[in-house]
Amino acid sequence: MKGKSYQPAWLFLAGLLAIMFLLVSRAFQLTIIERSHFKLLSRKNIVRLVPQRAARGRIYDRFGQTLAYSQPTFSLTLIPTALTDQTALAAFLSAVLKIPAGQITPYLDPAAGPSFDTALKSGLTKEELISLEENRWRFPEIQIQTEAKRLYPNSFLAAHTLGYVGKITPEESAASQAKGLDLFDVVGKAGLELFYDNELRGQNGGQQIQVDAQGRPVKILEELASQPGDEIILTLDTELQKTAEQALGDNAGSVVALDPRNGEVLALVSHPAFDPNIFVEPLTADAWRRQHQGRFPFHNRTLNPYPPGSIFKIVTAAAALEKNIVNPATPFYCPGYLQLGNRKAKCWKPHGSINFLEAIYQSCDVTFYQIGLKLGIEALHDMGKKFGLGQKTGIDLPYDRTGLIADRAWKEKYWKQPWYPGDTINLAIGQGFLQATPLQTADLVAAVANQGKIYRPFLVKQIKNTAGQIMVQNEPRLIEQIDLAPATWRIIREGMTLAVQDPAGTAGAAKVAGLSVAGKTGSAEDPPRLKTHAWFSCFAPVEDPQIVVLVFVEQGGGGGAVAAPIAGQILRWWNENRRHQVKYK
Amino acid sequence: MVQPRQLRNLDLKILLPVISLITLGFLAIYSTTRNDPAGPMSYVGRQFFSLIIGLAGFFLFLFWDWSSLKKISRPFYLIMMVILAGLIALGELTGGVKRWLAWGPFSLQPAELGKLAVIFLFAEYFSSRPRLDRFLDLLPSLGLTIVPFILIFLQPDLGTATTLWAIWLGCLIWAKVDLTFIFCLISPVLSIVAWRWPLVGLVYTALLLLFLANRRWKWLDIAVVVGLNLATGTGFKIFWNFLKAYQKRRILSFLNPGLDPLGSGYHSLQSKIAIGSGGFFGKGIFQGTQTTYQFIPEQHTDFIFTVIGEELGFIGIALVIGLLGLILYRGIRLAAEAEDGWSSFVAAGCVCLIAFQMLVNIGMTMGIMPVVGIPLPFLSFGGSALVVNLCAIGFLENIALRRRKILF
Repeated sequence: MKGKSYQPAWLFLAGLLAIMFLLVSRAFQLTIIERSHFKLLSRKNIVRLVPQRAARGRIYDRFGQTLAYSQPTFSLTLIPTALTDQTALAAFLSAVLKIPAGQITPYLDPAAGPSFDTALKSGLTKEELISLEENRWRFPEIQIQTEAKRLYPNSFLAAHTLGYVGKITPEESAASQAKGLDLFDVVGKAGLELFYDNELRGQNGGQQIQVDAQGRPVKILEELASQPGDEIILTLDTELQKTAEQALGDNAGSVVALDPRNGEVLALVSHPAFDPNIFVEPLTADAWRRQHQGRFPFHNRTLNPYPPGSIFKIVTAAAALEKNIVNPATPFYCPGYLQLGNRKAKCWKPHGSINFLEAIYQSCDVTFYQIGLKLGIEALHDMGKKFGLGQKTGIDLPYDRTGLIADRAWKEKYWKQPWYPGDTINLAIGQGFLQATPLQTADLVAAVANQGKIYRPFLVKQIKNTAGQIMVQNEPRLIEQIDLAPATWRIIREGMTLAVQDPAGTAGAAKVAGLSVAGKTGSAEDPPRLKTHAWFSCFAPVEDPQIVVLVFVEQGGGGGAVAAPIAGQILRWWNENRRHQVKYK
Repeated sequence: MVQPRQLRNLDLKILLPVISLITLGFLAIYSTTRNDPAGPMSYVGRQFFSLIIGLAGFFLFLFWDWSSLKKISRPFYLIMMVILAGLIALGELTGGVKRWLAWGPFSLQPAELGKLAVIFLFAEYFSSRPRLDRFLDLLPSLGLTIVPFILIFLQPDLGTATTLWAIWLGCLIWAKVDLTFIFCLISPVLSIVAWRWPLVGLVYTALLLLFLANRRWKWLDIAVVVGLNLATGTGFKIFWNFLKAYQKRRILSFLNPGLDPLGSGYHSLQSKIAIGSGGFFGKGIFQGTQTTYQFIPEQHTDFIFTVIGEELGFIGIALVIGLLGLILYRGIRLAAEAEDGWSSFVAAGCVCLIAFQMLVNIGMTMGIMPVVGIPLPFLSFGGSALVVNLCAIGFLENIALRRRKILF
């Protein structure tokens, strides 16, 4: 060994003595010097642990209207001790709370331990609160805790987007404990409440309180201030959202309204919806079941994939124009069907002699069948991908879906069959192995409005803490730049404008006086469903698009007949109330 | 084999304290579990069962000729690593915390056995006089420590894993490694403190560099140590800024339980109350109010010392610390006197093991150590620890037996 040698045994011995000295002197400090302090705490018993739950952050719309907030409520917990006169306490509580005494006694079991303040009753009324407070001198076991109730002033409005909160389930509890949460904490379960739960939740604080024999607080031993959650400012426009929801009415479906210039989502509707306020109090199993009956109100239809139908013709048209297979004047003939092998692929109406531009705004399937065959599936697939299909939109909501745009490889992998021309023509008109969510479809049309630029759709503009500091500022993010010839965009745009304006166009119901609107209808078959889904997507004003509206009615019938008028209603309102009055930016 | 007359060499100054502590442990376990729904005898019974197994282990190690024990230290280590790794895999599959293997009502904590395997392996490694002239020569033994550390840490069991580092450190010192090396091992922590103020950090790093150069260290070794210090010092600041508020709070309150009034701070506060209120003589056996009413979580396992303090007061505390200290003192002496290098290291390792557990466990109950899951030797309820500790004692007595006493 190098250097001066030493006897390790002496080092060990020194270490041992140091340890013993440290421990004994600390013990001396606790048991002799500070004895009276600890004796007091133990005899008077007890140190109460009172968590101060953080107030959940508010959610505002873009104009500062509150969409979700927290309100304090009071709940009763009991800290059982061996000193309890259980019968008297149970009788008293039973009288005040109107609960049978038998239900109360399990909460008084000392074996449950003081770390678990099991709430006997939440949401105490003022009278109950007063009675309990007045009698705390008699029963030191009574503990009043403040909790925060999450409220949504607009009830059903934007329910899926906002989401709801609930208590932590046993499955979530392991992960939650790591974040310092306990079984009484409330977390987001769906929508924005879930996606931004970490920011909204804040930080629980608490106090260790020394209480006297009457349970009255004597001294605060330790205190940790709770930190309220951050506030979230959304891009949503509540009045526009209301208008969209009213326009959709009782139809099952979805409406998406966004600003194509930056991706801000102005309205996001899914119907049928639910009232997030119902989750604030614990639901009985029955009530829960009842909520889930019928038309699946908890499905967020804006993020559900469906066949997009004729709206996809935008993609087919773009691919065809880019490959120079067609120009606006190219003639086609539609007898109402296309013969493919031994199958007649139908068109919704025999259009007769028709040129390409007319085929767009009159939505002729036969034309697009033929174009699709010429292009082939790979070209359609590639162009579809460029328009964002088959990929997540990146919106800040949970359960964003990718949808589907198939190609040869996909069909071989999942169906173990080769790709047939019949599949191509189906896809060319937006059916078959093709699925898009209403949000993706809105983005697709936004690309046309923007000459190829797709911005990430987002809901949250800004996150601020309660001191006013900006924690997160979301800027528009360009996620796709589709490089097509300016002529391509012009032609598609013209086709869509004529769809609304021309008497032969399919979307006349979306006409709005004083506003130039361009749109595309779709009526998508979705076997085995009997009726087609009604789609309509549009942007306005055409020269300088400021808003994109997409309407989807599940099994609604014809796009032009059902979806377009809804969009028209929304655009009319927007034109009168927003276009000139309000600068969104 | 052992001759009967050598039994006279049994070191009673180890045996008697151990017996006393175990007995005290039984009383304490009874006291802390008498209001437990399962009933005290459930715990006492299980501890008794573990005691039987522990005694078997004690006698095994007492009489076992350790040259054959030496031969199995490598395979034993390897087998334990495999078991520990398997435990992690099992834990992944069941999606839960996996520290025990259980058959019916009995459970075994492989991590405890792992500590023993590490001690044996280190003894073999260090007694073969490896070259330990330069800092980087510490790498092989570091590697042997890191593997079980990671495996146990992932269980997750931070406390038990940290014990391995104490054993390593102890063996290094026992191997008469240059003390500067020990300092350098601890230096990254000093670096973190120093770099709170960048100027201080720079000065510190410079001083470190000069110091090592002055001692004529090889440049590679200097680079490693200084580099490590810089990395931890500056890196920690950056890392700290990335943490979310709740994560920072967890780490800080882990180090100082007083900072977390809701979690471990509550736990250690209750323990301090119990101990402090015991006063000089304690409240009397089975009279501890805090422990009677089950205010202390884990009061029969990791926090068993609390009931000693509450019921037996300062006297009881001093007694327990004194007995443990005596055992350790005798252990050090035996390790120093051991005729064979290997057994000397095993003894030193066992001493480290028991000392570290004592320091952290008792310190934790009195609020001067972070709250981690380390049992108190011989007193805590917990079979595996008791068995392993008894094996260690058996081994120490084995060394005692072979002391050549000059009998005139």
